[in-house]
Amino acid sequence: MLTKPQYNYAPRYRPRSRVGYFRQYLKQGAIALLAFLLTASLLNQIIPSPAIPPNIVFISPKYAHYQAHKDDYNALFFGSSRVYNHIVPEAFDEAAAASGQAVHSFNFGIPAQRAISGYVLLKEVLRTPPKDLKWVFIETPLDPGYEPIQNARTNRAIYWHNAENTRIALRYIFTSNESPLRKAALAVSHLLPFAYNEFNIGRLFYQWIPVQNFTDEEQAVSKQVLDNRGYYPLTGDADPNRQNFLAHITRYRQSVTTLTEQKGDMARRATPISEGQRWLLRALVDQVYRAGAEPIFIVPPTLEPQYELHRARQKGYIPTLLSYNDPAHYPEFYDLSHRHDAEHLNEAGSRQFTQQIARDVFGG
Amino acid sequence: MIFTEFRFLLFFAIIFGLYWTLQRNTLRKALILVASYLFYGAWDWRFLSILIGSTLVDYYVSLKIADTHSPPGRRGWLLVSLATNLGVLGVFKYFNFFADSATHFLGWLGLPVNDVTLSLVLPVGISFYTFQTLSYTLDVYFGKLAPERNLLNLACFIAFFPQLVAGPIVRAIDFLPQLQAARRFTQVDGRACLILFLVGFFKKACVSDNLAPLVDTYFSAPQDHTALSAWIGVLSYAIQIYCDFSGYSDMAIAVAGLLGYELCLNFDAPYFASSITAFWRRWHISLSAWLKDYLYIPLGGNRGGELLTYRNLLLTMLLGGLWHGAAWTFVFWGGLHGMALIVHREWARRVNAYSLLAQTAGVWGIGLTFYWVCFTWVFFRADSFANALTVVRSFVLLQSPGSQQLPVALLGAFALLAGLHWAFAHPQWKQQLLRLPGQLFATGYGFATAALITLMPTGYVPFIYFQF
Repeated sequence: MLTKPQYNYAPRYRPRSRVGYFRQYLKQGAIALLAFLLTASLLNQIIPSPAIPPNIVFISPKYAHYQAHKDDYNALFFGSSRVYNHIVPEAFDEAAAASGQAVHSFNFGIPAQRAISGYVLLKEVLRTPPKDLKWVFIETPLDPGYEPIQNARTNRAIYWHNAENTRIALRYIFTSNESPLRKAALAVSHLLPFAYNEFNIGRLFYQWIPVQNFTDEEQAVSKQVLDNRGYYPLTGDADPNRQNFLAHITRYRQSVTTLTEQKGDMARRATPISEGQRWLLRALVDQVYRAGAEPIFIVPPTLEPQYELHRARQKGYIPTLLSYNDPAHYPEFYDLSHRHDAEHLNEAGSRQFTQQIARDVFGG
Repeated sequence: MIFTEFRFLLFFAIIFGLYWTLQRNTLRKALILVASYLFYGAWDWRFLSILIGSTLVDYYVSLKIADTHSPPGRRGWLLVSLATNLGVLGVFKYFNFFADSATHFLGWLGLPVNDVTLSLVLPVGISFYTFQTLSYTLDVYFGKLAPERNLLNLACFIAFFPQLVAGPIVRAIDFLPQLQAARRFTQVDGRACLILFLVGFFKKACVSDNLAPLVDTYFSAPQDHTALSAWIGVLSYAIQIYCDFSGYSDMAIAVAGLLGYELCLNFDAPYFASSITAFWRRWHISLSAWLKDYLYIPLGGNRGGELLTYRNLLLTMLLGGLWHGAAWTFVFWGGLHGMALIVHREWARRVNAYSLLAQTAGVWGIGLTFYWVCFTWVFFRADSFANALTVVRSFVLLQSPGSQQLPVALLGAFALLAGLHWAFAHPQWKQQLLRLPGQLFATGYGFATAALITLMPTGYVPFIYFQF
């Protein structure tokens, strides 16, 4: 039944010096590396990555829908989960209609979207804008340019890290106000997915001949999101974030109090914004103007003060800023009955928030 | 950290460079030990204590066994080692299984008891290194091996990172002598190791990982699929598990080889085996050999007549099944293989070796053995007997309980993979590659690596055998 283990290969003794071996291996290693880089570069040309490949969770289904129906829309919302879970296009359009404005909006919010990846997506989407596009709403936390390193080998991180976008990310990081060490760490978080992109990881099977579709759950969520024109409501108590929120209500209340105090301190609004942040905001504004629309920046009811955006507005880098992260002015958005968790509104809160934006933009 | 991650390549490049720069063997072994603990700690540093504890216990016990002359005393020390190693394995891997089974059994007898289960995480690779330490202590006890008095050597043997978490299960008798003298760089067959690593990488990253989602889709809902899908799903799993495990073994052998150490062959084209007996000589060879030497032979092997031989075969395979996982489906899988080994043994005894049937067994036996092995994989992969029976109805009786169809084009890919399996089993091509001029080989290697990367998935898929 069984056998003794056999050795896979017999070691061969070849009388050659250690230095000679090292030199030989070094030379051959350099040749192999060169061959690898040349082949990778060649393959990059032969099978280039699509701007938005078909298997990027959250993004690809929205992008595919947008490509098919873009001319139906004249208002687009971009941002993170604070748009994805907060903006109800149907409620927005109804509130706008009540103010006499015919609007048909689409929510392009993507969960965990960050400053640079958000800009890259907006740039790609507006490369072919809807013919009647009038308003582009942008929610962009001006984060330090962080890309979670543990996500480096995911489709979502790899797809946008081409040479041009990585250069943008590095420029944003190296012109930020972070410490040199932090800048280096942030840069690595982009260089890794850039390397994966340049080495074409999964390019053939996962972008050109997609063998792996989304999971059943992802497909179900996508369908619901597209039925809601890009909006995904946060409901129920099963979500771990919701559980955590319910378990730490006191902490949430303290955060709201702190935010109220911070918002009252006008001196803090003079927080300087970095060259990279300024460049990013201007690039966003330029992209929207180029698409023939008006850019409107939004600060949703978060627990972050986001002074940089107020500073940017004061300096004229952005034309319009609608800010809702002030518990003194908008207590209803911080009321427990409207919160799903510390950072997100529930469905009722989201509808109210969406209608408020429409009223602030269109009057009524 | 797994072998197909880039951070492993970085980790290994550093270790490789440092290792061959150091001159003294003790420093090299210290480096290997630190690297191994770092490698293991990358999963969960807390479980390092079990690994180190097991090493210390076996070090001490082996010395005591050697220094004790009375048989009861030696037996007592052996029991300490067995109780410690099997106790840890039992608690972490089997406690919930036995507690759950006992609860169900008592409930079935009409004696309901409360569930007692522990919320434990299975330390990665615990089954592998436990068997390794056990083999060391047993070899010392049976006088096959002198106890290792150098703790560093023993710790390196148990924790050697290339094979620590998923084998091959290395014997102390094979590995400890390699630690005695410094390995020479001139002894390293770098090219053979690099080829083996790339072959393993291809099996794991390009084949197994790509089949994983398809297998998961089928086995999560076999009742929704057609009979053809059952065939595709089961064949996919047969290929996935082979490529996953043998790919890992290939990479482990290659990585160890680059540091100058030899590990035993673990797979030898098992799907071309013409009988179930031959299959077990080719599949997970290091485990088969372990079970033979430390279970089958101590049980009596084939020395006590046919019936006792059959009993020993069955017991060995049942425990082999249980080694793979704490579930009755694994035990059943082992039982099926045990039964098949008995049937084959009986067949070989009764059929005339010169008959046409026996003469042609090398041909039809391959198909029959492969079909049987695929059939048994159903129980190995399914998460319950109910699911397994649904798959069996489709796979054996060709019933289609649902209408969902997996891509039929995969059958073409399977034929291609069978061709590659055949090629890997005939190493002439490897000899040709080894004879290529160095610069041509290096160019081809760089080209092949860049090409293979386009086939690998972007996310990580952990090795199946890590869970065992």
